[in-house]
Amino acid sequence: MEAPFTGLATESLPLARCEVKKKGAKVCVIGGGGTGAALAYDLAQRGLEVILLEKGELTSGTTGRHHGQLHCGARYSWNDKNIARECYEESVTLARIAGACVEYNGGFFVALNDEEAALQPKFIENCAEAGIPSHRMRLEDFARLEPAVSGAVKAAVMVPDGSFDAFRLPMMFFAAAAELGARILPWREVVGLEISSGRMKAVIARNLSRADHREERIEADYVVSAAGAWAGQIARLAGISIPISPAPGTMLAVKGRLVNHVISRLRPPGDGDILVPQRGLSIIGSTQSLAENPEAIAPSASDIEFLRGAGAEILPGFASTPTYAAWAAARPLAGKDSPADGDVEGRSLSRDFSVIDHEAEHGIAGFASVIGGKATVLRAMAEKAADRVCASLSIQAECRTSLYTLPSWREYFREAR
Amino acid sequence: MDFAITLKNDHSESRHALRLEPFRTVLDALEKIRGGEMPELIYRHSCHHGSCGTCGAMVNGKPRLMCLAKLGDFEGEEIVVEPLRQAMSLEGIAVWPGALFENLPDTGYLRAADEESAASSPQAPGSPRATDSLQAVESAFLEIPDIEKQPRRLEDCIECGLCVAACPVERDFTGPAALAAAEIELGKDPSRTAEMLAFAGKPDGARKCERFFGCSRACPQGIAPGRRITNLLKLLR
Repeated sequence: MEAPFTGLATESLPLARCEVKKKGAKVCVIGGGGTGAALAYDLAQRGLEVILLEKGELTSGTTGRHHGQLHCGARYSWNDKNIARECYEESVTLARIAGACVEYNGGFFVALNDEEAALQPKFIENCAEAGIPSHRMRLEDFARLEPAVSGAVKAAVMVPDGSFDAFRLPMMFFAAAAELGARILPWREVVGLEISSGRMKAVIARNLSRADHREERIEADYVVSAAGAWAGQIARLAGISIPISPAPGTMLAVKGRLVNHVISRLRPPGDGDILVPQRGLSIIGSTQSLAENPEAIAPSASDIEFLRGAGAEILPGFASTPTYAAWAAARPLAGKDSPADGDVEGRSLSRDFSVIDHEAEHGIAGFASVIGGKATVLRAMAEKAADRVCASLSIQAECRTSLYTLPSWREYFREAR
Repeated sequence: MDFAITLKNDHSESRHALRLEPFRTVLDALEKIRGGEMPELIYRHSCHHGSCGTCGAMVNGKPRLMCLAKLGDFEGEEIVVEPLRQAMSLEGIAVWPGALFENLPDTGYLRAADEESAASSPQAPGSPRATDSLQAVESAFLEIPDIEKQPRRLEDCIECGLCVAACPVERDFTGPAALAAAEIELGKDPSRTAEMLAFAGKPDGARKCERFFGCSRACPQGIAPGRRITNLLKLLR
């Protein structure tokens, strides 16, 4: 059975029409990646005073290095229907509120051998169970749409995947956050957390954009660490340990838009099985390993060679197309050996990201960490984290981030900061 | 390979000896320096694959995206990295790109994917057209605002500012990035022709161009702002 394709049910509103009622509480967000961007916006929209600290340039950690696939969730439907369903909902929402940075052209899952072709009915059933539209393509139609893909294709299923600009998407959230009054401060390295009587009081950050690297003290009613792969380091400043593992993945871009739709292998997720067209590039991802330190992650020569081969399996022309760039990013993998799963917040959410309430877990009130997650669900992660902040501060305010069109990333840079 | 990289701004300078493979980039080198001997070093970077446009810097005097500048290309040379010209310098190699964005006109971000573009990205002959595509494609995406039957893609300009950094005109000029954007827009949306020509015809507009064409040489996306400004000047005559 195939789930029907559906359009967008709601219409987005201009952000200028968004009314904000000040709540008088102040939140400090640590981390200027996608999660921090969406969280700063969400909290500002709920009326909280927001200061966001990022040690480097915004999106310079993991976020910007994403290959840019807007996941409709089909990839995850093999293993977890809830993650898949959430991904679909979020991908549609982002295509609606951030359409200016999204190439929403759809994607194909292709079977390149009999084994993969045999998985097609199961894949379509998975998608249907997760509420993700899918459509079996006639091979001649597929070949007309994507002539560069291997002639060995034995089955092709269309799903509503897309691609997005991994820098502009979070910058649109930053632009929205700033428009609603959030203070976004890059070049602030958090070096200390001030905790007294079991409550978070302030964050100490060094201002690296000044020659003297002056320390600044930011008092806050609540602190959220949205530091992704660096969340373990932030938690250690509070003397606690959280289950987060930096998991580097390598990606390879060739110059040339060889396809117009995201092409994935029709099989359970693995390495080197997604090809994403983005602007004038074609990007193959990815690999996965574990690292101690998320800093200065670089791809290995063997990863690059593997990806070149994996790309050529899908697109014969890939191997002969010059490499444009190879790079790596540290995913924030939420550790599976969490000391007490029951204490982790986020029951209503899929397991792949969670909000750890450090009051319940570690006896530090006014402090939470967002861990795990994927780029496509950044808005949902922020919603969950902002819900936790509001509940802790006894503030009544609902999430409205899915209602408004985000301003252009250009607006962020047009304001003097 | 062994490299020496000098990082330099208007008030400081440091030299770093590094051993890295030739396929690594100047940005990889800065990441290594920051990860080791100079943890306070700041510079803009995000995507590491020439897509976000943040990591522009002067490399041996030329505006480059550091993530695409391969160390192997500098064999036997000293490498000197400085903040991008014509942008507000912060610390280290970092700049604030505000002026670039203030000058950019509000132009469309997307275009048809299979349209001829000025970009150097080659389109395979007979590249896919979806105009005659399936019911499924249409029903999937037609209901979504701004999504047409044809595949859409982001415009080529990544707003990196290298063209501006390469431009010899230093003041009272809206600059090659903004003018190229206006020229692309009037080609794409004829209803905005008058508006875009008015933009290009302002006192700080196309007529300030000195025909140096450094912008076209510097553009990592092959947009050729110089040629586009020439075209604007023709239309303005």
